[in-house]
Amino acid sequence: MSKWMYVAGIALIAGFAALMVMELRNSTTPYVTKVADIRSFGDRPVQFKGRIVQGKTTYDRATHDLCFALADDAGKTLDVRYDGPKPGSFVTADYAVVRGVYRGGKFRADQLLLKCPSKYQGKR
Amino acid sequence: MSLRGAVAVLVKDARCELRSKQAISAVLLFAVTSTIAVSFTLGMIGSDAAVASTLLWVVIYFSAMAGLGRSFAHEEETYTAGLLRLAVPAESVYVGKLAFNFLTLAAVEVVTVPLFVLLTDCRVARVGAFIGMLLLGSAALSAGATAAAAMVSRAASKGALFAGVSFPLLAPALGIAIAGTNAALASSPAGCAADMRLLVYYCGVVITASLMLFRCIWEE
Amino acid sequence: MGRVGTRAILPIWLQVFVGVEMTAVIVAAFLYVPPADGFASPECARIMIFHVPCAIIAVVAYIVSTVYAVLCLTRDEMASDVKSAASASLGFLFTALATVTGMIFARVEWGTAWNWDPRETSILMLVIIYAAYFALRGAIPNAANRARISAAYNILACLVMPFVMFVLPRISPGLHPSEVSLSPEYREALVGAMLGYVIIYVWMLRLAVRVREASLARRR
Repeated sequence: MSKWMYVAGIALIAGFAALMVMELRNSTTPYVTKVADIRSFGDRPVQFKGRIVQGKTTYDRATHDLCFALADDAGKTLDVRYDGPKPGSFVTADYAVVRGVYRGGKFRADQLLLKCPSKYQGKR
Repeated sequence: MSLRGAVAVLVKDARCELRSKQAISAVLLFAVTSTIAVSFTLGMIGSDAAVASTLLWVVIYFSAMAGLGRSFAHEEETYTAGLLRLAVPAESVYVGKLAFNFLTLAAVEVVTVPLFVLLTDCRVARVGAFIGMLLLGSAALSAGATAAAAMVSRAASKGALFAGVSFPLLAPALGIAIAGTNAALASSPAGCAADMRLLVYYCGVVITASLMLFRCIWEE
Repeated sequence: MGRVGTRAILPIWLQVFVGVEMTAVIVAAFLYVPPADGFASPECARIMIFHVPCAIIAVVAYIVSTVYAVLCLTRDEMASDVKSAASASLGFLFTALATVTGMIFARVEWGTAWNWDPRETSILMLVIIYAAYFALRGAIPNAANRARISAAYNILACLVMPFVMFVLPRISPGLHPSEVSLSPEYREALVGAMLGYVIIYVWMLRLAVRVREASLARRR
């Protein structure tokens, strides 16, 4: 195979790879950082990361209904309702990422992920 | 690379296969029995679109593992590989074998997919998208499997090695196909257009790379 | 083929330096670095100092292995093949270590050893690629064929990896932290560990290549 065909092949592969990266950037669930923006997405699932507000967590063990509040950097809070068992690390987690839809005043989450504390600092 | 050569390879393999029906009958038997086994359990737990699409693709994937590995191995075993190397340029061999593997997989799916849908009473929300996903997913699986089969044909222990070697190459295609079929079955609002495009890019990368590398894999 | 390098594997001063330096890092990790606030087990966060450089080197080793695979096919077949295989074997070692340290940390911090976090899954894929690579190498008796075919597999797997790595974050956001803040002690220990790991990797690579070259030369 001539050199030209190799060059063309590599260019083709690079092209496909670039297309793939663009595709994935567009199709990932949008990551929202402000509570105010969530409403604009309507029925589309979004991901939101916020600080867990202490003292607003309720958990009904029978129905697996976990209700808590997340706050964004601006201080606005979001009421979240998660259908599922309460993760063990919920008490020590400081941030949570939820994925779901904003419906009827509450954010109904189908995925809940607790962020591990990333401050590798000593106790002051 | 000559297209005529590729077609000749395809026709030769098709003729051999139709004559002996050895590989296709084994794969078909495997696929049908797995489909029945899967539908049996699925019927008991109730079919969720995600579970159904996963199990369907698992059946197709394992049928591919069972059936597509032989495409190069039997050339080596019957000592026709040397003649093939002389007669046709390397890239044509790859294209011909790729087409043959794809058609084999498609033939197996023509039987098993309707059987699966029937037995699990699976609701297909978008038929066109569903069939499109099946075709694209099969093309992706064939692309990776053909390259892997060629690499394994020179090796000593062919059967299990083929499945192990092709898994890393095929895993992303499998994941995308399952996600896309899930969307097609359950009619999620996003649809499976994104997954279809991803599979096209995947096929593009694997087929282009295999064409460029095939000479190194195939030649003595 | 059969040429064995004669230059020193690693200059003596560098060997002494890395020995002293890594000892210092290990001591620092336990005595100098404070326990991290906010973790489920503050003491156990120290494992990060060893886990992160290990994972980085695992990926670097794989990339080096693929670069040599490309060189093997385009330029110097046997010599590059030796280096490619050596780097892959080291990469396998570092990947296994990274996985084990990660699982220990995950068990302590999040409760379960395996969580299907995207980074965890991609490191698992890397393990499978290495395993398939070595299985393929082991099964091909002819040295020249082995070099070419394993190089082709290495390149194909590398091309497919981006699909795996980008597809996975769609499944779940992941547990690994995205923004990390490090106290000065942690930062120093981490940089020290990274430096030590790089030097150790280069040392082991040169050693492994020399051993392979020597055994090949001996066979002739």
